[in-house]
Amino acid sequence: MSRFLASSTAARLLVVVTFVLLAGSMVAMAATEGGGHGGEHGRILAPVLHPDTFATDSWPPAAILVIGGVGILLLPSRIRGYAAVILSAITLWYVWNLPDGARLVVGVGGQDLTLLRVDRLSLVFGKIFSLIGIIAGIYALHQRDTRQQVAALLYNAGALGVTFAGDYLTLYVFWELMAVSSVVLIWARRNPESEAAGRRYILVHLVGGAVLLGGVLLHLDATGSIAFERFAPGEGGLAAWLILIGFCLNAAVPPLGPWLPDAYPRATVTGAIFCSALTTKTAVYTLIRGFTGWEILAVAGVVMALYGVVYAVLANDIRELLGYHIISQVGYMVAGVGIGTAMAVNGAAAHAVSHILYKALLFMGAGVVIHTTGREKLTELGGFWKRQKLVFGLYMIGAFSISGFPLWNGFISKSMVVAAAGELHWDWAFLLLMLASVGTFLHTGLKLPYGTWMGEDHGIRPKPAPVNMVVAMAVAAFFCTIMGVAPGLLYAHLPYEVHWDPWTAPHVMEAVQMLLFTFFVFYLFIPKLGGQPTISMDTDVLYRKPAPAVRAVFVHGVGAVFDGAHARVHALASRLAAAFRDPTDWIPGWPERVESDEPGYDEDRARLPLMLPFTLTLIAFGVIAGWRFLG
Amino acid sequence: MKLKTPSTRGWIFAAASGAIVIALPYFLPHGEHHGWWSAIPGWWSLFGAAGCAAIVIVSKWLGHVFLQKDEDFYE
Repeated sequence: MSRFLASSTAARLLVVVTFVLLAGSMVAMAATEGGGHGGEHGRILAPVLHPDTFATDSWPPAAILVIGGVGILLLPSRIRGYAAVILSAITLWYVWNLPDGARLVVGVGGQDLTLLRVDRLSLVFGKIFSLIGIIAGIYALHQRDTRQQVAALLYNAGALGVTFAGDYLTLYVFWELMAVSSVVLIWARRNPESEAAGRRYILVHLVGGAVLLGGVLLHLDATGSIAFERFAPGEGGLAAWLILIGFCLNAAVPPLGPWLPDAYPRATVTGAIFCSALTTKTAVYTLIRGFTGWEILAVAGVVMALYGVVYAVLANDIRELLGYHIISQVGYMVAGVGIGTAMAVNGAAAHAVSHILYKALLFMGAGVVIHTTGREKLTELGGFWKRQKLVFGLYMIGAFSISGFPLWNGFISKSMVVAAAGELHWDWAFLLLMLASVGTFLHTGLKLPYGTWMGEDHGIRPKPAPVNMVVAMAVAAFFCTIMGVAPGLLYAHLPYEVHWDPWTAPHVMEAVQMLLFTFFVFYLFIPKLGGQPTISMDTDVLYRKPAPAVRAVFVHGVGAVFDGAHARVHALASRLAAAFRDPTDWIPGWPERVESDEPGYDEDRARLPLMLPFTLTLIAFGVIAGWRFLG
Repeated sequence: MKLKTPSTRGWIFAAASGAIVIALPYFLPHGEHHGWWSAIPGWWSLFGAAGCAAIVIVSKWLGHVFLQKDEDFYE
């Protein structure tokens, strides 16, 4: 029996059954009146938030981190890390106390810039961005790299600046601040791979920023406004689409997302925690704010959720695997935005909060492995879980969270998006998002921890992990657990009133059944799930493969033209200098100059009489021109 | 620690735990019915098992025929 179950025949049988079931669900969905994609089924979009607004003199929270980020340069290096944590704690306290409805508007160049817009949506994202700043700061306490410390604070400031921006211009400035500060966290690893990945990362993000700015300018031209408000589905023309593309690039929506698994595995161990938390979730925030109810995002989100899962099967680098699962999990949030109901938007926001916490925990676990073993590939790891029991255990809390195990936060947030699709009878989205959940547990909860800590023993003897790294993991694990056990703690902060109870018997059993049987099949497939020393081709092949040719044309080619021109101009100048050295040579019949040691013609003596008429002419011309101009 | 092929006791434990989680919903309150699949006994068990197998096989196949390249592919 066991031999049969482990055989490829059994595997093929299971695949056939799956496809039959999925095809059956599609047929049933199509046959159901009003069901499926496009069926509105009473879909009511989440209302735009309109709190009672009032003007305030309060500074935007980003200011604390920008000023603090520069200010810590004045501190001794041994306390900079602690100062960064304290700054993030102050920011969290400040954001927590911002009153709903507060606005700070300043006039700049004829435009009103809204530097601070506080409502329940910006508050929930502002709080989690500040909280993760504290946790990631604790994780990074042991390192003394000033560049990284400042860059991380500015990166977090950028995320908060975008979150509380009420207009596109303010948003754009902080958007670019995020790009230029985050790339420092990639380059700071200081190896050729990181340097190249960082270059690609910043180029992609600058292009994305340019597309966003183009959309903003078109929007300003069309409406006269730069207020960052929601576009009704399908409205807004080219401007809306360009802005949407800009946002989707940062959310890593395929095919715009290969920058993420390319760059994040090359970031520093500590920098990757900030990266995993900020860029994509800021983009999710902007999508909620601007594009709630755009159905194309529901399709894109479901595709993302599965796309990340497929690539994660193939990944060998542990942080690349986690990177692909960022894409997969952000897919749930993007799908929630596309579904657009209050439940779905609440789910997107809740899942962003959960995701920031458990993904940081997972990246922190992977970071400890890299820091203590110097290895980051599944093919090189394995067999040392007994030497890192605590780290392994904390990682598994993150793995249970992302997999949607009852008791942890993924269970109470991911289910909101999936249930929102179910409420609308969008069966295709419901089933495919559930399928992505299976893949999430398979990779993040089983393949990665098994291949990294268990599996084949490579004789690895990891050095002890810094205490602060483990403490940061414990803090993140605490939040993952407390939110899972008491979901009301999170639900109370969501943009809309929550009418969802994840702790029902059918929902719990649904998760338990699915996850248990995923584990059974994982057990059978272990030999197929080991890492392989390969890389996976993504859409970045479109700019990475032609890069040598582009470099040859636009860098080496242009350089060759300039070098050639420079050489020719230099040669021409040399010939002219030689020809004009003695103009008497040009006069026929003029006696040949006799080369001798005797002093003869001297160009320095001839220069004054030659230059004087030119100089006088120029002075005269200047005087006449000045007189005419003034007159 | 490598996972080994389960012993007879392991198989019995797996079968028992699987049977319990499939049977348990029938003894607990019902409430959520999303679609036609809700009527299939142990649907989410089947979905988890078949989905997991499908993800591995389809992804591996895609990797083999198209996506996976040597590590020096971009060099």
